[in-house]
Amino acid sequence: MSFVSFKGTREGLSITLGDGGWREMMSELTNQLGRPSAQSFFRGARVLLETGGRAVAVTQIEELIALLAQHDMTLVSVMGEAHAQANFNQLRATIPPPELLAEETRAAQARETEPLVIRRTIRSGQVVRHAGMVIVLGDVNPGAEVIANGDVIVWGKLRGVVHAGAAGDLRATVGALILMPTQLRIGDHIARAPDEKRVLRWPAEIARVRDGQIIVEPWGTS
Amino acid sequence: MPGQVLTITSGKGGVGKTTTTANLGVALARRGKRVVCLDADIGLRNLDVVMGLENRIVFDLVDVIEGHAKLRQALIKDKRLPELHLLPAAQKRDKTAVTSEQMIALCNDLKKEFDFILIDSPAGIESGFKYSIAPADRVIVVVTPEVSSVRDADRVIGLVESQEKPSPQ
Repeated sequence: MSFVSFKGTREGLSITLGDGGWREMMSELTNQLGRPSAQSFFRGARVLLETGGRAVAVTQIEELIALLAQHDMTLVSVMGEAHAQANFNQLRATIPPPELLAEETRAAQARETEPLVIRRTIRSGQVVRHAGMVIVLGDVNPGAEVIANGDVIVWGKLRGVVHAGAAGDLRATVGALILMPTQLRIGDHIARAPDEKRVLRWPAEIARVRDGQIIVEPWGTS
Repeated sequence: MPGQVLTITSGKGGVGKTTTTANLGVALARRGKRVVCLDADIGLRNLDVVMGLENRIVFDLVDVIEGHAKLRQALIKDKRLPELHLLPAAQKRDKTAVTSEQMIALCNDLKKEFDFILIDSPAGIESGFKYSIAPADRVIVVVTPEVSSVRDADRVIGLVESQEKPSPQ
């Protein structure tokens, strides 16, 4: 029986966790990565972890990061039902790897990481977390969260919570065809939807930090 | 005088627990009582939407219980009634994130600052119901005039009584 499955994607190597115990999964992963034929194949890979409905603790994520590091691989994003991500707030510190980097380095790292493209709607309770830019070809519904160290672009309605430049990059932006997030964060800045019903504006809009606050303007005006 | 913990529950879903909690909160706050409405429906939160405070959520119940945020940071003050507060549920987690003991400890802290703690219980009689009932001084069972609702309410009253809570009046 297989506890983990691998899939190559354009964004990197996707590892999906199965239903087995964590120990069995880690030992299978260790074996798989350790096979001589796999060595060169996996080396240097960027890894996307799909947790499914599984509960994964921060210590387990750290264990996985350490194992991947032995094979010269890096974890760049975690996707799944968010309850899978046990100590949710701490994960922010876990991706990218926990060493403290200068803001410039973190921003550069976010730009270098391949964008993550999601071709579906992200629904309530689901969370996407990525070390680079996130592109959603679909909607982000209320109760869903997208957290990216780079920019976030939504080709659809953005109505959930979005955090761009989550590692501190204040130049990060959030764009959407219809930009109506419950809450919008860029770096350590935070803005929330106005309480009164907003008239839908067209064309698409983009949010960025200017003079220390988050502003929203029509796409392409600056 | 320390605050009272009232848990609003029903067994059956969709009978108006959340609506009752929000309205009771408003009514008590209008009388000048300090009130906190606590959404215990982790994973399917709604009380924030009903109270119109959805866009103010930064930290939630689970963040407080796990020590990621202070109680003060997670409490959201109502837009109109300064006495009314919301402690929102987490949407990204499930009912296993909280235990009865943790809810009792949390409510003991809240009792020091509030006159009333209204807990909006999830539907059902599983762990979410159990941790919602655990800290309660009194329990309000919401019923609609349907046979299934009445049956479920009767079951819930039995469960509440077995927890040695006061019987419903």
